[in-house]
Amino acid sequence: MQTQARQVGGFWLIAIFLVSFFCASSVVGLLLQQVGLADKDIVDAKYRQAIADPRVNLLFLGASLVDMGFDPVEFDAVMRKRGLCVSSYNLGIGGMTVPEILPLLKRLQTSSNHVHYVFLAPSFWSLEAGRFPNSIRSIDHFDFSNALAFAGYVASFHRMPSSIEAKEYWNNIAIATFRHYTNIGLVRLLLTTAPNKYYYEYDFREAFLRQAHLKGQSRVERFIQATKDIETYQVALRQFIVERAKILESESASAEQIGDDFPNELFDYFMQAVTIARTITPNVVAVEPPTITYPAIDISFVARLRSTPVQALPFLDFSDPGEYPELFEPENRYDGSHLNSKGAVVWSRLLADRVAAMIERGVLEAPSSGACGAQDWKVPDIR
Amino acid sequence: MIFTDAKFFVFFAIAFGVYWAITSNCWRKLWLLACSVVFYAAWDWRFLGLVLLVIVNTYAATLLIAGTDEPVRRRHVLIIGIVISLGVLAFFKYYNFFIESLSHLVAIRMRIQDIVLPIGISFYTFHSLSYIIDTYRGKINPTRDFVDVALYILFFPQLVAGPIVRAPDLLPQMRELRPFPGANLKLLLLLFLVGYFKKAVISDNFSSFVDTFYEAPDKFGAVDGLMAVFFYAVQIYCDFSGYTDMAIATAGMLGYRLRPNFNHPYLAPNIAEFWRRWHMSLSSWLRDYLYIPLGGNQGGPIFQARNVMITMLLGGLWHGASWTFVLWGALHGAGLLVWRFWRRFCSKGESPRYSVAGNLLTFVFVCLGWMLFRASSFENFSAVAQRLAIPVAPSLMPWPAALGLAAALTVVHVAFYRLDLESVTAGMSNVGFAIGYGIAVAVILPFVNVAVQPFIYFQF
Repeated sequence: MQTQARQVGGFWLIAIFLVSFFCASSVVGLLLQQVGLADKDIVDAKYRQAIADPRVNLLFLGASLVDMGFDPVEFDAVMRKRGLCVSSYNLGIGGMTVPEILPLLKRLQTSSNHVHYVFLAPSFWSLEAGRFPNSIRSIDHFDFSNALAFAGYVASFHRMPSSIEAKEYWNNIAIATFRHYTNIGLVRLLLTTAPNKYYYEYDFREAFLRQAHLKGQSRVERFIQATKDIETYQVALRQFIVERAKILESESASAEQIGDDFPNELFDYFMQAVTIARTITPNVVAVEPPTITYPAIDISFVARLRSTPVQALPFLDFSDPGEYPELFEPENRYDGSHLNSKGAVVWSRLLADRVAAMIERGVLEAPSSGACGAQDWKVPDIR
Repeated sequence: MIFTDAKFFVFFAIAFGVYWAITSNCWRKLWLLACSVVFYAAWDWRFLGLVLLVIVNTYAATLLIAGTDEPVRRRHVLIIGIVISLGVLAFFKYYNFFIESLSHLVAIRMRIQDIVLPIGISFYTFHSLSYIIDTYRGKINPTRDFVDVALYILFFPQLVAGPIVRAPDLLPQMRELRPFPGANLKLLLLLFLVGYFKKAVISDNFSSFVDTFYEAPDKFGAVDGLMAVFFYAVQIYCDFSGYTDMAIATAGMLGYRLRPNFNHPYLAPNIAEFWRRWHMSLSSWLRDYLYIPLGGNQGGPIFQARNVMITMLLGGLWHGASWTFVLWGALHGAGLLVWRFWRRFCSKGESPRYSVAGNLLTFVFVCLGWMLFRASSFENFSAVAQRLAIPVAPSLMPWPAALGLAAALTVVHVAFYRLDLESVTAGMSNVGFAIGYGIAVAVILPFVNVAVQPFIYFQF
């Protein structure tokens, strides 16, 4: 009897300890965010930078293909020439996949009312948040809800797009979620620099210098130069053209025939993003950037959108080297996946032309005149 | 699996829960033994056979010694028992060291073997030796229960880094059903948290600064060097005493009492006092099983000095198979002799318990020793020492931050010396403690270095 009473008392004390711990942990977590942790999470920092300026009325969300390939200054300039007051922001983030875009869009639902256009370029194969569980980006992202969504997303793959197994992603997600709720080791992350800074960290001091005129873009000046690299790239491009054609042949076929690499569940995640984005603005656009690395997934997505068109979802497809040869020229490319800054200018102009044409045809609504007011972009002070 | 690892918390939660659910002492001990085997196997299961050899040797030797009154036979068994246990240590830890040293001495290349050092070998062989010797000396009646002997050597809280437990302390505790710590549980949980903080927050965070400096001392100057030397003194103390705190707390939560191993050594006013406060279980082991058998304080000053030097040299060698450890032992031996000389001829009366000059001098001397202890080689030590004479602006950490840290750590060290954890917990209600503990854990965790660093003393 006494032992039983002791056990009951013990369980109560453990419960009190846990409640006390998680309450205190939440407070500590909020404090850490306030003292600079939020600024070091590249997703959170870029998002806040984007929405801080009320002139920004176009957000382009995607992975590194967008981050490096979309030049907002160039895009806005072309739009202005056509009398369209658009101020865009490059919300492309290296390795950002669909489940990471979903919470951003949910935040946008509640926090912003000046976004008029949402462009979505889903990189289904980018799973960076699940690769490095000790980065601030991953720890910030993986609360229970996001962890379950990401784990489900990883489980959707019939064949993993990288050499990392699904169980390793799940393990990483569990570690990051544990750290999310316990804040374990976050002070050290706050005071030190992440080893793979491009993907995970955001330095606002650097951002002020680097992005003052780039509006979120990571400008890359390097291009495919060496003869050997050009040859390798051109071989890969030829393979891509063949494979793309094969996949698109099944355009008229049922979704199941598109293949194991792009299961229905992945497309469903994308549709969730579209649904949320449409509650923010009716002007949601799907974009397929010019990339040749993962045709099995990317072109399957293109094929899926073509074979089962989503009602009133405008789709801009730049994946065809035949239609857009300039986007696939070695001098415009950083590598097979990404454009360089010169390529970004070319793509952004093409994109602007296509978007302007859509607006003129009435597919998308015209912007209000507010964004034409100031030409110079200044990084807003979000603190 | 180390005490600060998440895996250990899961392991211990299971070990603790099942242990207290069992009501028979015999089954409890078997459960603890099984847990200890799992704990050791988590490091390297291949060496379980080696530990078993040491256990069987200890069990057999103690029973054979107790089974006969014939002095010669007892002595022979003692020698065989010691040779086997010490032989295991000598082969696995010192074989390559001796071969290498001999090669240099006779200028002949001898083959170095690829020998992996089994974790905790220095500790469990010392457990074995003390039990065999204590049995020989008649200080303890050896147990016939093999599980008791196995558990004495394998008991997981103290298995891999001590404290070095004596059989007369632990074996009698195993004979009876251990009571639940009850009111003491709060104290034990607090002690564990203090140990965790020392290791995971202080030691692990300082280690990155220290490692950066010692890996490439040429890149740094005197201020960085002084910081690194000071930080290492903090790191090694927090690492080892943190481990001990957690070991004592873990054993306590299972109903077993382990003796303290540290008593604020950096507040020692002289080097002799330092050794009474640092790694107390090793100091007393060396005193009882080496220094006193060598003659101890008997005989003339030269004879005593010889005993001190042999003890400290072997104490240094116990820490690692390297001449830097031997020199570290020699340095401390010399320090002890100078202190004895000073006390005999220069000091008036009893040495004070506190003395700013004495504390400072002792701390500086100990830090000098730590330079040798931390250095990977004599060349590394020499490079580190040279940098201490080159005035270059600090780059490891801004000096005001380093000074602030040093001041804060000194205050905390002194405060803890005066703080009685028992009275802190005794005055708290269980609910108040649970709330406070939750908050304390939540505040500590963000400062933890998640890159799990093994305890420094595991390598010994």
